[in-house]
Amino acid sequence: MSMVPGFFEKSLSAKFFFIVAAILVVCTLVAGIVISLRERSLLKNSLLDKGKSLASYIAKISRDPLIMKDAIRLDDIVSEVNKDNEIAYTFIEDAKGAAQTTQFASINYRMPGIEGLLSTAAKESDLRALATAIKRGMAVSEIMAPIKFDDETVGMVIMGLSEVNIRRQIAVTVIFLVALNAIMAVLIASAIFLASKRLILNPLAQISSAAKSVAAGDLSRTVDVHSSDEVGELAYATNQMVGDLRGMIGNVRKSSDSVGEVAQAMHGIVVHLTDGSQEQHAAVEEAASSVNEMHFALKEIGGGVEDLNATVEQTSSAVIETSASSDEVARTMKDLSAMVEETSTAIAQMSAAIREIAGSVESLSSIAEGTASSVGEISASVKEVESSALQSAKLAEAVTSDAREIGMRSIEKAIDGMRLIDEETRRSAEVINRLGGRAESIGSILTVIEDITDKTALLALNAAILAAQAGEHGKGFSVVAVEIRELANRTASSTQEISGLIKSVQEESREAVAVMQKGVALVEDGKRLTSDAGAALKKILERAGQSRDMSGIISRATVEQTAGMKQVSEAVEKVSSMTRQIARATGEQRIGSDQITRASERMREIARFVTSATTEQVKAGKDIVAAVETISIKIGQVHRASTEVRTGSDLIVKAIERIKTIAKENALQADQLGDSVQVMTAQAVSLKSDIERFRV
Amino acid sequence: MRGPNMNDKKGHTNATTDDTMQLVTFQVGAEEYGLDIRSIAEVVRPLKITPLPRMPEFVEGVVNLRGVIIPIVDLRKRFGLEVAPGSAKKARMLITRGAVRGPGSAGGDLLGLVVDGVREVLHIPRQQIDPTPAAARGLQADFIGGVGKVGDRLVILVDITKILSRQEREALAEAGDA
Repeated sequence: MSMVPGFFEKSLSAKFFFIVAAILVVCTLVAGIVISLRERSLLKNSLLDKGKSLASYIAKISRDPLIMKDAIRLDDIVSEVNKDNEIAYTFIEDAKGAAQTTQFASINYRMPGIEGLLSTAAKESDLRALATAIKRGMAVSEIMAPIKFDDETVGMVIMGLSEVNIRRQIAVTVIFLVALNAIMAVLIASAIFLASKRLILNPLAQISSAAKSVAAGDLSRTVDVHSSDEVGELAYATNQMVGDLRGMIGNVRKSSDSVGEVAQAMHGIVVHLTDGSQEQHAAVEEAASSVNEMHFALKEIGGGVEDLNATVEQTSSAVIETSASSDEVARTMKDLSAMVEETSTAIAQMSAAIREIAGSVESLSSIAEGTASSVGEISASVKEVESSALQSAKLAEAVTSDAREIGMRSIEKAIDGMRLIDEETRRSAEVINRLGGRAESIGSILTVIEDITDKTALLALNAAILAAQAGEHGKGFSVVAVEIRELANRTASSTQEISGLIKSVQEESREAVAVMQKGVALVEDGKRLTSDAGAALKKILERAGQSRDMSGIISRATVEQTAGMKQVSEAVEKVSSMTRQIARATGEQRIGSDQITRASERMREIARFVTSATTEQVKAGKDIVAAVETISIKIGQVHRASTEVRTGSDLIVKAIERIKTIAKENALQADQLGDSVQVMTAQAVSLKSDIERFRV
Repeated sequence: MRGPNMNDKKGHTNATTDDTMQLVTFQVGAEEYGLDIRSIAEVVRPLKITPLPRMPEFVEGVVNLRGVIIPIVDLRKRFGLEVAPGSAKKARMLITRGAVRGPGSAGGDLLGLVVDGVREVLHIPRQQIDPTPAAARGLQADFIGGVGKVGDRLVILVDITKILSRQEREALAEAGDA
């Protein structure tokens, strides 16, 4: 039970569905009650009308039997009426109220339920009492109709009408109504449910999910509803709200980013500052110590410089002497070097020439080898050409002889045979034609015979007629006439047979002539074909002769070619061996020249080395002289300067001490700045992570 | 053309006696007809028919048989049959006597009948001749004198005196006298 309210609260569609269903159920109940009441009163009225008219009718027809006390007739009337399934009982009383009909006829025993009612009210033979029992037991309306005779009531018709049928009919109507309403309720509720789902619930669900995702921090969602009703407005407002939020969050994020960047930059600067001050401090320390060292070194230098000055004076004179002798050596060395150079270039040129020769000899050798191999290939193919030319010459010879001896002879024979066949066919066609003509003349003779036979038969008939008319005298003549007639008949039948035979002979001879004509045409074709074959064979002969001649020419040419190839091959072989010898010689030459070149190279290098050494010696001698002079001057200057430096360095030491203390203070302040920058950076980071939660 | 001799042998006589009748049988269309041999003068091949002006309508024309002019009636037309085209070779003219002026009279009593063919001379016993069936009797067919049965053949007997109606006979007689 606790689930249903929760479900109701959650689902708007279910609310719609159950409200509509409830309204329809209430409508159904009200309509059912109203309709059943109305129908019941209508049906009851019609039943009563029917009963009244029936009762008055019975009263009319039962008047006479009642007056006459005809109980059997009354029973008939009553039992007839009781066959109706809406009538429970009918009976007739006289004026004194005594029943005039029997119990069996008066009560409709076929009506369901009556037997049971009567068994409880058993043994009471009074019909009034039975009717009361039936009325008590089931819904029955009673109708009474008086039986009148001259305005005097002589009896009464009492009729009970059952309402069972009415109730059944009302029940059917109500059930039909309820069923129809139930179907309608389901259909309407479904339609409203679907409509509400499509028009309100789906858009609301979309808006709800969008709001949920905004609450979760996702601002990228929008609601996709395009209607302009209240739901559409809600969607539009939601979209606008989300858009505004998105813009705000974007702005905040941008500014937090820039704060972070500033803090980062400041942090960098502070770090730099700290490092710089520390370095400064260290450098100041170093500077102080080195200045101290320098101070002591300067004092030692002053002493050294004085000793040096004395020795330089001695060295200077010795150096001047050495320099003069080394000048002479340099001059002679230069001459020697030039000569070596010339020799060396000559050798290099020779060596290059030899190398070129060797290269060209090598390529010559490879060319000669290639030529030799291709000459070999050519001579092999020339040999093949020669052998195939010989074979084709032989074949052409064979073809020529076969064509001449066998082909031409058989074609001539065939032509002769064709000519003979042609002549014979023509002759037989003539014979057959003649035979046909003969058959025709036989036919014309036969028509004469037929005519004679016909006339004879007619004569015989007329003779028979005359004989019959002559009576006894003509009797003998009559026999003769009959015989003649018979003969004529026999002749007629045999002439008919002969004419049939002749007709078939003529037809067959005509066919034979046609066949012969076809044969002649075929022979004509055969003649043409054989003469064509002869012509073709002649052409073949010509072509075979030409090919034989051609192959003879080819054969001769190849023989010559073969001889030429042999000469070429020998020459190439000679060239090849000569180049091999040359190559060997140039190879040896090259090795020798290489050795010479290498030796001259070495010689040149040595000369160059010696020359440069002597020139350097001379230059060095001069330099040394000059240097020694300048050294002695400089040493004098150094001596003076070192005394000045010593006083300056004392001042520097003091200044450095002061700088050291200032640098220490700087480092301290930079550290403090660094701490405050770190606090700022941490705050910027937390702000940024808060903003990150929103997705724009 | 079968069996005329057979009938001859059966009949034992050439003349028409009280017991047997001699008939010349001929064909018109598919049926076989018979004429008493005494009423036939001659059987000839069809001669050239010359139509004459103002001839009675039922007469085809006249022929000249050895100088005697004889009127011709085509039995095929008279029996209401088409003239078969292939039957010309077998066609015959029966030259009869007694058709115009009754039997026994001489001279202009001859009448030629064109038929599809003459078959034979037939002897037939009188008891094998039945009277004309009632169904065939009528104004159009009163020239039928009876039906003869020969084996399973039926021969329709033609009464030569009734082949022409009275008016036709008078018309011909007038034409002949004129």
